Amino acid sequence: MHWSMLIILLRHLRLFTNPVPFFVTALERADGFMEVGLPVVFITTVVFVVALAYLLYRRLAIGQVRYISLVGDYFPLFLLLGIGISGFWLRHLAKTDIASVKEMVLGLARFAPVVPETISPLFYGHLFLVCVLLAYLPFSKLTHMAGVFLSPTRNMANNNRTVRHVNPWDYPVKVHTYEEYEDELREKMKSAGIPVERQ
Amino acid sequence: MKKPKPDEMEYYQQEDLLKLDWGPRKTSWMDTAVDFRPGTYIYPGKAKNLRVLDLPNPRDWAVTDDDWQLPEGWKQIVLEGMAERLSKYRSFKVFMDICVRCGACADKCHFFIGSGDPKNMPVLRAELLRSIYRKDFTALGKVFGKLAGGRELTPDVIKEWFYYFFQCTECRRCSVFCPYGIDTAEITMMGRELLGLLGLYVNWVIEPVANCYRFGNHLGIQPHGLKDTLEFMAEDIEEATGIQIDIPINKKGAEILFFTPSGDFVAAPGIYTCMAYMLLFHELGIDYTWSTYASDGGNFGLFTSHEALKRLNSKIYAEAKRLGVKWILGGECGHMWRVINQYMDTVSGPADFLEVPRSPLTGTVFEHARSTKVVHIMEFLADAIRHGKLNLDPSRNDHIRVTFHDSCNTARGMGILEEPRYVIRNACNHFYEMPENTIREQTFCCGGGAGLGTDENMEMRLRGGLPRGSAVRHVQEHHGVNQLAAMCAIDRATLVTVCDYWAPGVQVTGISELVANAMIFKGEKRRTHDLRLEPIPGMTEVGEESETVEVAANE
Ligand code: HEM
Ligand code: SF4
Ligand code: SF4
Repeated sequence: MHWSMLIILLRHLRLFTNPVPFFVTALERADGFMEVGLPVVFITTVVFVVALAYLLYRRLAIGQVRYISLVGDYFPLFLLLGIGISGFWLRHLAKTDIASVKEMVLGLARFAPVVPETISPLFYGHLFLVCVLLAYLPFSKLTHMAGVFLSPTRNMANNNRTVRHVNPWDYPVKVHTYEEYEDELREKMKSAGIPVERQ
Repeated sequence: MKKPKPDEMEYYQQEDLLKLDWGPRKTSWMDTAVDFRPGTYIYPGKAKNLRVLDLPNPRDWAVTDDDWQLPEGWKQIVLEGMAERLSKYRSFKVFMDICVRCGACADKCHFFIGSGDPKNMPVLRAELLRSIYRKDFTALGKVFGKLAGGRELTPDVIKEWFYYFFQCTECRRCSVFCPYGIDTAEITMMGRELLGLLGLYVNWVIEPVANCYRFGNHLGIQPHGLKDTLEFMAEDIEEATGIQIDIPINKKGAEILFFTPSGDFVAAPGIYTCMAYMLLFHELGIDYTWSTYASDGGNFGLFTSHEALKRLNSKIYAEAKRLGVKWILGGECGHMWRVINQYMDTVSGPADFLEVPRSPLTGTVFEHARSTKVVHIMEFLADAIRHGKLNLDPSRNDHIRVTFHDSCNTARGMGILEEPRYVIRNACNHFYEMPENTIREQTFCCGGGAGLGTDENMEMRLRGGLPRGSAVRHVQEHHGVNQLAAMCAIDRATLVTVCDYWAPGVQVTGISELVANAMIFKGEKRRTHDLRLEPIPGMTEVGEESETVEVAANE
């Protein structure tokens, strides 16, 4: 799932760049090695959609996981599924005119929008979902990737006995000193023959 | 026969406890109220203990009261407390944000396995707090409220926190399986600190803290009482081995300050471990001292707040300084070592007046304890065994078939896994591991750590002890295991119940006790009885035979 996501993102580069970087083409070739039908079915697309469908199935079918799930857990799944399916549709069923898409995208990028006629409404649907995704991304659990690197249980060494770590917000606390302790218990200590500081 | 009460093991039938439903509940978890049933919650902290510690809102109240007498402006207090902690602890902030509710942790908690209560899934335990975080601290939550998984902070939420944050033993097992390493134990700690701001403590934790603050140990043993206790042990040692030991207390200029959890001063089987320390130190000629002021290595402050932890922990270095020792040696304990390993140097250090620990027996310098200056008794003994300094005859323990329970705190909290095993293997010929997913980093909790090991919490202890108990039962059936070794005082108290219930016939022991029983001491008498003063099979024959003859003759 996560790998296919990355590869798809890279493959999308061909929509933005000119000439198409060599590694994008190489990726496409590798990814399309199972030539089922024409144009090539990219394995990652299939894996991506199937993986999402599995994740959704898991959330719905396993009772415990459904019980802990929030709206925020379903939403990104549906969103990504929507993007994935519409994207698949665009490539394999609707036969998008890549040249005109490129024209438009590059137009957008130069702040000089062009709206070619030959792009299907589905493309706009796809684009809209992607925009929602981009807007939602920073607030959502989809930023989970960052967590792997931020988690203190993951990125800190457990070496406190060897190396001193200083707490930046350390503050003094009230303690019960030995003097206070001995003052309260001195007589008992003396009669038990336990050494004391002051007689 | 007297009818057993909910705080007694006999009250619970195994069939009843095993009727487990791990499935989802009918009502959404946000709308399911807590059911405070006897046996599953802990009594509140008494006002007198809160006063000793100057803690907020001291009052006497009951968990079953409708009104918990929360202080004026309690909501504000909690939210401000949360804001403060979110800015201080990166762990808290990150763990609040990054959970994806994947469920990998859900079935890893012994309390969920043993109770089926969805809110004992670590993820939901954390959501109890996270839902408030979302509502009040995140943009989406502020706008979308419940839709974004947020909810209003109400007195019922506080009750829920109290129930479930004291149904987590802070064992960290869940964190091992979480793809992000989210440590629900840390979330529980934060939850408990927030409850503390409202004066909501459990007495089983806060009374020991108050005792330890005033008298130096959790049990409130006063200095003369401690001396008596140790002297009784010395008498038993002499009876078992014929060896007379001396007991150095508050001795200035000793080389080593020794401390251990106070549980081992009073209750079997912990006392046998304590006897073993004294016997071993005597035999090895170690220049050490007990302290009455710092007479507890345990620190229930860990289960209260970082501040309480610091207030208790500070005594140890202070005492080491006063007595002028060179370094510190710590006994077998779990949470005590979590404190030493993770916090002590930061909260109470630097211990620059001490020397880097060096074993007087072998000359080994314990570099890994370079900063804290505190060495674990298993590190110390393993090193001594390695250098052939202990004269061990493991066949003395041949009647024992032992397994080893990794305590959560020493395994996951500090990572000491090999030393105890090495020591056990040298002291016993019959050592068997429990199944792999129940030991080492994946070890299951005893079900009574983090201040939950009290009898009024019996049902939850038995439920939480089910996974560990089943693993013990497994090795009991397959290898005839009859003893469970644990290097933790809480384990030695709580696992006795767990074994009696889920694996009857298995006794609990400390590791040092096994060592002392296997050790050949200079000038010892013929060892017919172990430190428990129980006859050692195979060693008593001669004596027993003559006794039976006599009895027969008399009849
Ligand atoms: C994280 C962001 C995105 C995801 C997860 C995503 C996902 C997908 C997927 C799974 C496909 C089908 C893959 C294929 O066979 O090529 C696809 C195709 C497509 N996507 Fe996206 N997409 C994203 C962003 C975008 C953006 C930003 C644009 C345009 C500005 C875009 C335009 C297209 C187009 C035009 C296709 C059809 C491509 C073709 O025929 O080769 N996508 N997308
Ligand atoms: S394993 Fe971690 S990320 Fe997954 S639900 Fe549990 S706490 Fe959240
Ligand atoms: S720390 Fe232990 S007791 Fe607490 S939720 Fe995690 S597994 Fe359960």
